[in-house]
Amino acid sequence: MTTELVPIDRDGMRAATRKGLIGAAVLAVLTIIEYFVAISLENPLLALLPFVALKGWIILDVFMHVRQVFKEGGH
Amino acid sequence: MTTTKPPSTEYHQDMSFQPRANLIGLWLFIVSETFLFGAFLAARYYSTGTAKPEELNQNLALMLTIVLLASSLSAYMAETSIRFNHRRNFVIYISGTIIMGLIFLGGVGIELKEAIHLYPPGTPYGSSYFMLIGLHAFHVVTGLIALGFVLFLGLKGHYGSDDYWGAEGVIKYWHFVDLAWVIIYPTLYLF
Amino acid sequence: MKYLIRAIVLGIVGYIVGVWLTLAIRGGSPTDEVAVVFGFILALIGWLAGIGGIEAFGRQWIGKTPEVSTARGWQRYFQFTVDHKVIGIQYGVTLLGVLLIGGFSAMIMRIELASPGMSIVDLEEFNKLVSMHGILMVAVAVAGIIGAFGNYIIPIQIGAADMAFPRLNALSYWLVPPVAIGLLSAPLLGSFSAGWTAYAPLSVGGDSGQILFNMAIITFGLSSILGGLNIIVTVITMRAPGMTWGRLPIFTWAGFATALLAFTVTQFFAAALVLITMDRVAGTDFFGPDVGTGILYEHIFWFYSHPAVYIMVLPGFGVILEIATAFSRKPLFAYKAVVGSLLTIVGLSVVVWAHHMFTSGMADFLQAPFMILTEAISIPTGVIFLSIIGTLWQGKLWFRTPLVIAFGWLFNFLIGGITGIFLADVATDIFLHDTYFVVAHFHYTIVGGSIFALLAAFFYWFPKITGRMYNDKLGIIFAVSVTVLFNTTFLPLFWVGINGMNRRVGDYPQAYESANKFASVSALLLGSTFLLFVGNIAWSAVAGPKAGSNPWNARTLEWQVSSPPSHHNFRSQPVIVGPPYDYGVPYVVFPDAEPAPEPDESGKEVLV
Repeated sequence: MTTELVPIDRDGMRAATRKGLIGAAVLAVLTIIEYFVAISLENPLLALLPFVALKGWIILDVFMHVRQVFKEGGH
Repeated sequence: MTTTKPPSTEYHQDMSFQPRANLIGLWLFIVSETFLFGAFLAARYYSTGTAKPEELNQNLALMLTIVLLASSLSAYMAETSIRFNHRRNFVIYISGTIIMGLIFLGGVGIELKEAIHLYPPGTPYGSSYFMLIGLHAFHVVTGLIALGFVLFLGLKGHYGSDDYWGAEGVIKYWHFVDLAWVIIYPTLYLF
Repeated sequence: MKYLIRAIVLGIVGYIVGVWLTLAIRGGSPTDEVAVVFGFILALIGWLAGIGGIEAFGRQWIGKTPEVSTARGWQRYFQFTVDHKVIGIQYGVTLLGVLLIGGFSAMIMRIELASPGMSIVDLEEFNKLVSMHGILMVAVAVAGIIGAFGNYIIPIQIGAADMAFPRLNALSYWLVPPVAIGLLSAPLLGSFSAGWTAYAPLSVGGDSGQILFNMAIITFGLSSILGGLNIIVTVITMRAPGMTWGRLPIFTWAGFATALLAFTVTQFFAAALVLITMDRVAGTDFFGPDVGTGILYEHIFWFYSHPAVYIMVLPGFGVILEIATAFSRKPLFAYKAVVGSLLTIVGLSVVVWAHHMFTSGMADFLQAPFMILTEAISIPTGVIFLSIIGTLWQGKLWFRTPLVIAFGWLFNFLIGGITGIFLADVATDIFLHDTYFVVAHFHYTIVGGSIFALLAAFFYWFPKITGRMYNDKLGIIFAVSVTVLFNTTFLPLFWVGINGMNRRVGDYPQAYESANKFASVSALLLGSTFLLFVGNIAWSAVAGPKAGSNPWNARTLEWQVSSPPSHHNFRSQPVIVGPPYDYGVPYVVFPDAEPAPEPDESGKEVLV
């Protein structure tokens, strides 16, 4: 490491970290529930679709910041 | 060849559009990739519906899902760290992502080794299975290579809160790999 | 030249290494398909690294500043140059070459078809010829207008200095030569005979040339995905101040609509060919006769290839609309309706694919919806057609070569469109399927709609690109003769098609002989008129008279800069104050670009 940077805005970082952790926790819980729903039902396709949609949306919104794209000039 | 005035007098367009172009470009690439995965998924549903063999190693698949999710979280933490100028954590989290990515690949390797006897390519399920897993693993490998470069640059002292697009782009791609798995996993194991 | 030589050497080395590695790991012979696949992939990587990928991309990955060539002479055409104008010309010249090769293979086919029985090739060779002709020409139609003129004109039309991702743009061009090399070297492995559609299960069996076809077309798909993505980002983010979406020139709109299709659905062709490749080399069975099904292939393939005909034709609409408004000195008729129609076509074109499959054995309930959706596309297409006619209507028509070709385009596309309705209709399609009626319809839409527009674009923008004017009399002679001969070639094919002559077969019953003979003679004459075109273009590019910056007095931005445009197109940031097509409207202001400097004495590029 050549130059060590000075961390900025510790509160903002804590908030962003918390958001990511909550998102990941929800994803993990959904994954587990999804698994048990799948092994307990005979034909789980319809029951599982909401899980897939919700998980996909969490990844897009929390992890990938999809809303940046629609904010004019935002980055 | 032509005689030219020194290049300094040449007109250059204002480059302030570039960050936004990068962001939109990456997202369009991800949309395009979605179509590729969509084609493979469509092939799976068309040729076999949701049928799946009994011998699937459900436990291993669930573990892999969790590992990939954790690697995605780690990538998110890396991005957050560098956004707030915390380079040491950035390097640690990127390393974590790479390690978990490698574990995922190893797990996929074990799975494929079992699968080649239980449902080899050439059986209806086996064809879809190998193609979808293979396509996803290909993306994991390219993502890991890209993450390797990001780690290398992070160790060399690149990136900072004002300039981390290179890392951010690769991390978004890694999340996309996770997103693809969120759909592929139930397609092959659960539905 | 240094980079080109390095690229060729690294490409060959890559191929040898790929084949050698495969042999070392699994044994077998160097012509095994697995070896060819790995050879092709490594050859492609070697080629791209050699042509400039190491400097342009690789350096950035290890934290160094990327380097791109800043050469300004003729050598920039043979290396990784990021200037969009150079890339446009590279595309144009490469694809013109491919067009001539594809045309030559068509000539051989027409000679064979001049009489029943086999004369110069056998049936198998004829199939290979059909396949080669098909895929080469499809490549030209897909990338011709959008690759050559989209790259050259769109950034200037929106007031940008270059594309949003110049290096990616160069990459998407340099992926094209390996495609041409891959396709043209397929005969070494026995060529491919499953048609340009590569229908499975034909393409799952058959000679190993198919594998080169697959790899080449996957590469081509990558090129068109990256190119399309680049155009979209450029149009979204790089428009000059005042260039609102409502003021976007219509060619840019058409290119944007095309790019929307190209960067998404192209993945489906790539996916279909990946699956075929895997069926051939990795033991999967998606399309084979045992567990797989060819209908799946048709679904995936046509999900790309129906939108692909709009990838070919939409930029053609843009070109013809530009020409119609500039040469009739009238505002573009119903601009907003045209833009809406372009976007409607983009939307509709991805939900009509199964109209190619009415006789394939797919589920019956799919037939009616796909028929209705297909016929619905004729509404936006008709709106665009009406807009062209409305623009020309009562205009002061200025009959120069571009307008003459545009009239030929109108006639051809009208016939192509009307005959399309018979093929969209399930009942008539079952009767006409797999006959020469389909061949004639397809050529009327793609040659009539895309290649004619490509020629029109050549004649329209040639003075801008080279700074020189061609011989307009020769141009008009070419335009008229190509239109007439095109029609005498393909009109008889409707007739033989309705009477039941099968397509893709080198032999036919005696009854169709006279019509075929007529078509063959016309086709040979049609092919020879291209000598006139090439001669005119080549001579004028070197020794034509100076064209000046705006020979057509057109109002879009590219005509307000010098011919050819300077290195970054403009001398300062242009600001747009009005719509682009207010010809003859009183008190309008021209786009507020700087007055263009005339070329200097030597006629070479002026850099200011």
